[in-house]
Amino acid sequence: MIEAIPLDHVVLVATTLFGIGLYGVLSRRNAVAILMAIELMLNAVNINFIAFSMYVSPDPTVGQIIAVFVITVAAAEVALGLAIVLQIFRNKSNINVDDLDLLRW
Amino acid sequence: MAESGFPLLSVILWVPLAGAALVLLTRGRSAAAAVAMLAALVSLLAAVAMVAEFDPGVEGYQFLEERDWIAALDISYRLGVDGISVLMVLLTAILTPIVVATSWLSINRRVREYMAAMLLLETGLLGVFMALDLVLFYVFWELVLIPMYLLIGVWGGPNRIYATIKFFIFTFIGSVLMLLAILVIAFDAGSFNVILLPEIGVSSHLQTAVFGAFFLTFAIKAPMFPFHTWLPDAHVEAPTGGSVILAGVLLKMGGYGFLRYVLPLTPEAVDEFRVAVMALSVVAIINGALVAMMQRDLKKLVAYSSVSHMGFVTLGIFSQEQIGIDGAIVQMFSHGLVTGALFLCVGIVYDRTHTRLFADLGGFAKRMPVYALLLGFFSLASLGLPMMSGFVGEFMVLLAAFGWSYVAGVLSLLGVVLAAAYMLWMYKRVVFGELRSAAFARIPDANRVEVMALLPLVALVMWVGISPGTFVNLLDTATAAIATYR
Amino acid sequence: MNGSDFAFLLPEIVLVATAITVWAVDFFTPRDRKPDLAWPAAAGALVAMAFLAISWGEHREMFLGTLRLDNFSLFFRFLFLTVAFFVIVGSPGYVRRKLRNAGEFYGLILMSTVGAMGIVSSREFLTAYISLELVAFGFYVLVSHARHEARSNEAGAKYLILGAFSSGLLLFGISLIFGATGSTGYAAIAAALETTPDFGMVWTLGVALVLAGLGFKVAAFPFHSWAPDVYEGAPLPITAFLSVGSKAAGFAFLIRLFAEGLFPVLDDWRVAIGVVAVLTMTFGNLVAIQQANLKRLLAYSSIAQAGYILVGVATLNADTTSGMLLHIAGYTATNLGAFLVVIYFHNLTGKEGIDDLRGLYRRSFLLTLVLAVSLLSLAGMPLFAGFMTKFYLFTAAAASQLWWLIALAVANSILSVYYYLLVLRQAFITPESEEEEQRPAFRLPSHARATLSLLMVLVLWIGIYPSVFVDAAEAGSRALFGG
Repeated sequence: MIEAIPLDHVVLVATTLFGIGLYGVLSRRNAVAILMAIELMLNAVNINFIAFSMYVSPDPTVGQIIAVFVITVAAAEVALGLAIVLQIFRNKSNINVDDLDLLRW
Repeated sequence: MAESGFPLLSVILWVPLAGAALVLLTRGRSAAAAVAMLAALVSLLAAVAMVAEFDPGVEGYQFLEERDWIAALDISYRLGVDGISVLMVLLTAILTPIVVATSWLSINRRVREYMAAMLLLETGLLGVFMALDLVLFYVFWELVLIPMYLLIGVWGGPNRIYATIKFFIFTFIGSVLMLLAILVIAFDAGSFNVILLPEIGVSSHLQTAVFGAFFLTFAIKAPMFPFHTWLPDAHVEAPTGGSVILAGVLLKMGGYGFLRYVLPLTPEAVDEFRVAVMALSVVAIINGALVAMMQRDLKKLVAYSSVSHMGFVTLGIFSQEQIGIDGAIVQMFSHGLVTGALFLCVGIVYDRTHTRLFADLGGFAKRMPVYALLLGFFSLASLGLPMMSGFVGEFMVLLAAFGWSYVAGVLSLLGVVLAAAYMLWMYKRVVFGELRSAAFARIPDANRVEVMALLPLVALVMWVGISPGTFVNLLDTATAAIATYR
Repeated sequence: MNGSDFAFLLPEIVLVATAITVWAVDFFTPRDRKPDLAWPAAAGALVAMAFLAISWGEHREMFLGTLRLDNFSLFFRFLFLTVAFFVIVGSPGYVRRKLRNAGEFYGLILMSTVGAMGIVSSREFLTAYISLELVAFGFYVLVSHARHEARSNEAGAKYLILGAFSSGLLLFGISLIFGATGSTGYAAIAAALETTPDFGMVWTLGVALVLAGLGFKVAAFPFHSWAPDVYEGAPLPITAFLSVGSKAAGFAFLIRLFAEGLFPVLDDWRVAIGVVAVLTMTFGNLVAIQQANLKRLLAYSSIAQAGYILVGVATLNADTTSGMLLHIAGYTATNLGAFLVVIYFHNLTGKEGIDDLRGLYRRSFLLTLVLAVSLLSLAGMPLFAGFMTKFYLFTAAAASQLWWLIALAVANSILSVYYYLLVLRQAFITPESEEEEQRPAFRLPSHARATLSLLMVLVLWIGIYPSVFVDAAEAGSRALFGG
């Protein structure tokens, strides 16, 4: 059996990934890119769940089940997001969020 | 404490509200006024019955009514009156029909709504004087604001927006503070019951906070110097009826609050701040009188005279002597009658000339002899001529003031002298001299409705002046109790 | 779990069935009849309400303890069904003017309601999260439902991006909490906290992220920035639904989470939540004062309202929970009333500016009256629901002795009177120009009159004699705190 990767490392990777996603959401101005950044955040969550499930939880399947749910939800979210972005593109031929002039975070 | 079977207080309280609802269903101004008048008179009749049934010798509250309201917080619908409330209820019930009658003449748009607002206002005011539960009290206190805001805002003068905003901001501060004080009391004493609260008391370390909050609320309402600046603006912009109720009854909510809540609940804090409050009262008396003297607008003069007269009220209350408190209440009652009548007189002139500036007024003695007579009567009552109601209250308060400090006594006396000066000068400028405009040459004298509205006030002013004992007797038991909280 | 458990989920099942039926019928309905699908959808909500009666007083754990049907969830489920009912009944006129796919619209409202009902019953993070997403997905579509209006699209995009973003924060927080305690069930988390009171950084960060994620959902400062734009851009009935339904769902989530899971560590967070509460209400009120658009004003005022409810979260105990439930109920009735007025006004005039209200008084007494009652209630004037519920809440909160919090909350709630009165001034006082005086009086459909009157009666009922509602709220609170 391959030696297990220490939990700390996994969490570090997940947190870094989450940070990258967070940065992407805040800095990107293209709606599709923002959706992708959100995917990164959700994937970080998945890594976390699976790792914690293996190391911490009394029942190692819990985290994996959650991850499956999160993946499903994320897929649906992106599908919806792209549909809305498409609609905006049809109306405005532009998907730059700054031009939506209401997104002032 | 007599538990009466018939809910007399509820009748007095809710008939105006029912009247307000009915008024909104009427068509035409006379119908609206008639229904409003009927409701106000029924309420007055019930109030007179209450005074007749009231037993001045009994300690505590009478005509108690109690019903669970919000059981979870131990809040009750609890009404009751003692001698102080009886006079205030009576004052409210007397002034409302008079205002309804005169407004029928002077208000010419949205009469229906005006009458409804007036009746709603009456219910709010009566509730303030009857409520024996802090939350119920607060509810009525706030209920007064909405119709008052509407009266000034809808039927007011040209500068009414400014006046309503100012009125709102001052009352806003008062409401915040009072609600906070109520929450603190609920937390500290665990009760909203006004009958029990004086016995439970407020913990010493919280008294200053509760006192501060209550004091500011009531001081704004009374209004005490230096929290009085909203009053002249509100008066100038308010329609005559609004002014009468504002000066006649609304201001008394402040004095009533001091008596019912501040003195009994926070005696230690009162003790601490008593000197300051009395000093402010003396300042209010002198300052109000001096400022009144400088006014060029008749209505503003009467408004500032209110500040001066209400100074006597707070002076009397915070003397914490029974005679001072008695005097303060009689002064409140008398001020309600006299100043209410003066505002009516101002309204009579304004309706005819559309000006209130002294520069434009003068020489009405010949054109309007009856009016001149009435204005003269109430001016004399206001400056405190013996045998009239104004004298009684101020004299008793002065006695208490001299008992406390000669300086305060002498300064307050100066206020009385100043009152004589500005009132007589005002009278001279309005009534004597030459007419200022040819347009005024044909103005009619006070008409029958106006005279009929003022005559009951004349009678009452004389009654209080000649036989003050009738009224002081009503008060004695209650004020004796209040004078002991110190 | 056994078969009979499903009987208790009948309300949800009825809603889902109604939604699917409405979608199906939509295919066979001619375009001009589609808005009338509101009536079967509303009937579905009513039937579901009737089935709720079965769960009265029952406390039942289901599906391995992930769901718990108790009086707390019953209170909110009833609330959500009421909201769905009024939103649907209030929509047809608007839908006819603005929206194409009416069936889809009503069905999605029902599905979002199912999600909200799931949130309040879940006592486990994953279930709550999935329910939350069910609510959110419905809203993403509903907000952008006016497909050819740029404003609606933009609102939808913004809501989706920020919604997904906040879900990301929430989920990462959940994963950290899971990492610290080894469970996602509230009860297990509470048990873990009993044995290990401090999990260090991971735990703190986890809770903070969960709070941030939920802060977005309830539009608490500083996570509120989406709310005004989304509220303004969304179709009006959806704005109404968002401002009451989605907000209440977020708070139900927060309350159950803190009461059943995080209660042992609540003291560490009280001040932080209190500060957020004060900032939320102050910000909402101050910005609301400057608004000229009625919808936007209501949006900011609903941010402020979230602040008041957060006072209850900061001082959480059995009494403040009753207070919050009561306030949420009163606020729901009130805000629905206000929004229905705006909807009907918009249907009749196509406008929603505060200035446009001029002369409303002459044109429709009922609209003015309901507007006045709703706004005075939002302002917390006595005799209306808003005063009673806030008073209950603040009185309960006083026990925490966080006086600064209560003082600022009271000051804020009275400050808000100012801008509500500005609106009422337009409706009542400001005179119309001569041209405007020629405008005809409004004619409201009779169902509009009925709904408006019903809501007004409800607001006054809660405001004047709230015993029934207080009892219900206290029953709900007892389900969480026992006693």
